[in-house]
Amino acid sequence: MENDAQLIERSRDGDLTAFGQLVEKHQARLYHALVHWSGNHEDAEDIVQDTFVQAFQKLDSFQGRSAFFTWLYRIAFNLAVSRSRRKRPEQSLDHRRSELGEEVTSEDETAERRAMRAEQVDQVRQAIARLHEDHRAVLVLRELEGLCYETIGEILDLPPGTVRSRIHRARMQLRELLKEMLVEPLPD
Amino acid sequence: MSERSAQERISAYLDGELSAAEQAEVERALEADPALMQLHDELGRMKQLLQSLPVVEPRRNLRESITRAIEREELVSNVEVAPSSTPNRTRRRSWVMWAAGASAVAAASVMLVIVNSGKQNRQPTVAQHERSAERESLEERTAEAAGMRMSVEAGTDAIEDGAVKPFVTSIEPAVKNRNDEQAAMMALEGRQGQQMLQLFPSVDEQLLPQLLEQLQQQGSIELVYTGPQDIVTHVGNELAKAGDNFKLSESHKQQDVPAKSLGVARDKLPAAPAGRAVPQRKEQQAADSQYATEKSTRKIDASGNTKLRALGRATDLAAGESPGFADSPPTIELRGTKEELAAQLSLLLKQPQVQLAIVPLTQMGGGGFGGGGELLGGFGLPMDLAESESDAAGLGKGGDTAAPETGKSAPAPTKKKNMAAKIAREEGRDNKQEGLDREQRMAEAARRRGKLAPQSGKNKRAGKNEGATATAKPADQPPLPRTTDRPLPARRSLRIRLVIEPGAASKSPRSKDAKTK
Repeated sequence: MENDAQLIERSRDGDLTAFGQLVEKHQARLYHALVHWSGNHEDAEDIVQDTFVQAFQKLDSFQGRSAFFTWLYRIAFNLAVSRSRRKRPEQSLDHRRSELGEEVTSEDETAERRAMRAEQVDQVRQAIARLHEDHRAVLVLRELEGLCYETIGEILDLPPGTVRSRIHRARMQLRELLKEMLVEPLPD
Repeated sequence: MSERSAQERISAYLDGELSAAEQAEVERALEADPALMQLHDELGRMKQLLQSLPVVEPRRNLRESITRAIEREELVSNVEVAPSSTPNRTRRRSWVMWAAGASAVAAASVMLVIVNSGKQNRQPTVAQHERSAERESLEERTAEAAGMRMSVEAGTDAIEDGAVKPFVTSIEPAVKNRNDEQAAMMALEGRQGQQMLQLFPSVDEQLLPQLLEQLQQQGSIELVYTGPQDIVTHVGNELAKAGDNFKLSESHKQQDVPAKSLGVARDKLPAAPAGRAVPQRKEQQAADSQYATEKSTRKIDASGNTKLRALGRATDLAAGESPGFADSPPTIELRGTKEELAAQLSLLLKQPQVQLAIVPLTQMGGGGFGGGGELLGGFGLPMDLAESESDAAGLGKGGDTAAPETGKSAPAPTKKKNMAAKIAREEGRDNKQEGLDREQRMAEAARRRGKLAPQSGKNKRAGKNEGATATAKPADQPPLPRTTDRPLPARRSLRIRLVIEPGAASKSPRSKDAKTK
């Protein structure tokens, strides 16, 4: 399997198969982040799609100073934010819940446990959806993507100090929203 | 350290984003302050919760959607005039070739060519056209050999006055049907003095706002609507049904044209000379040519406001006939309020597998084809193109042409003329008189420029025979592959002119309206 740099080089030469491999490699991760950021599949798909389209078009401007996925995420979150600013009014939380209803669950979970877990996941997602989009973005990138502050700063064009404070504020808000859940220890 | 700062450090501590010294400091604070420790625990649980959120997988065909979207965007960007696009040309071209190869997508794609009219009317130099034509010719053959679908690539090129001028570098025809060729023609046509040329791979209702905006701005737009025969016929019928007062206009009656489709009158065509096999298609072309010159006008009163006028050969759309307007499509004029026209546009855009071109304002003839500022057979092409070199032997040869609006001589793209010649030959256009006039202008322009060889007698004869103009051609231009043997799919075209009549509430009889006009 070729690395990103090789695939990018081939893509620059017009090899869409190579770009397709880049898509294949990064789409799931990007989608996962965006679906939690946007709260619904449709928006996430649109943003992912637009992201790759833009990435392909702007591939010549990618200079390799950061990782490809960082660059990709930067495009994605820029698109996501601008999209959200011109978007329709917020969807209801019920709608969000139904949107993200399909989940991957472990096969060895019992039905009761699955139900509990699903409920918990719902609550967490609803809480994330209530955050301000700036806070949501840093939190998703940190907790779901596991990115360091510096990378998050690169993606969102923020200094690491701002990333740190935003993450903290996002967590504090989320803590309020998930108070009941956080008091008790998680079920094993 | 403030409380907030301490809390923020705990957050960063959990993320492992603190230096060793800061970590040690936080650990000491946690041991000393139970509230901070509780916060630490809760934030820790929250992290765990968030990180345990199940992975949401994208749908399986997301990648395909993405590549299709890239293809669409890329096709658009390939024909958009972007002054800085030159550095990307290699990648673009390569990509276009790839895109063309993706026949599964391309075959199902619906193509929309929007040719926006521009005010500039600079013409590329002859040398540029020739250079461009060489590229086009090579790529065309390559693409055709590979069975690719037509795609259009554009870029920019410097012209003599230092300005940047868009050009179309390739028309890769994969054109197994004539309509792709027509689309290519329309795309090329947009190059002539146009500011922007867009190629959309699909026609759907999302385009409605764009069309309406253009309609609103210009007051009228003219579309060339091409698609599968049944769909276009259906659309024509639907447009006709939109009216409830279908009747022939005065002008139609004056010409004593049969009330029903003029197709009926084909029976009266002169029979082919005995002993000489005349292909059915030629006969059809002759019929079309004859009747294309006869104008008939029909008007339909749609909900009292929308008028439908069919120019060219009369076609009984309302009666549900399937008129043979493949070769010379009628123009349907719809007049009404923006809302009414939006409804009709919506109908057009709903149809699958159709091509839609917006004819530039500068190319819109006053009376559809046959009038001044005409378009080739209703396909949105200037008559210049139709008239040049339609002799069978003259393919692939360039020449000069006259700018239709100004009457000034100007070089036209060789490719344009080649393709126009093909279509003109296939369509059997009969514009003899105009062709002769233009022929003279073009020949004069060529002589003045002194760059092109004088017109050959063969061409001249052929041009007359075909009812089109033969023009001077450079001798070293390689001929393009002929397309006459290509199978012609059952596709048809309509020209649809939409005219906004603000606040129109004409419940008045249509005949009265026609008299007023």
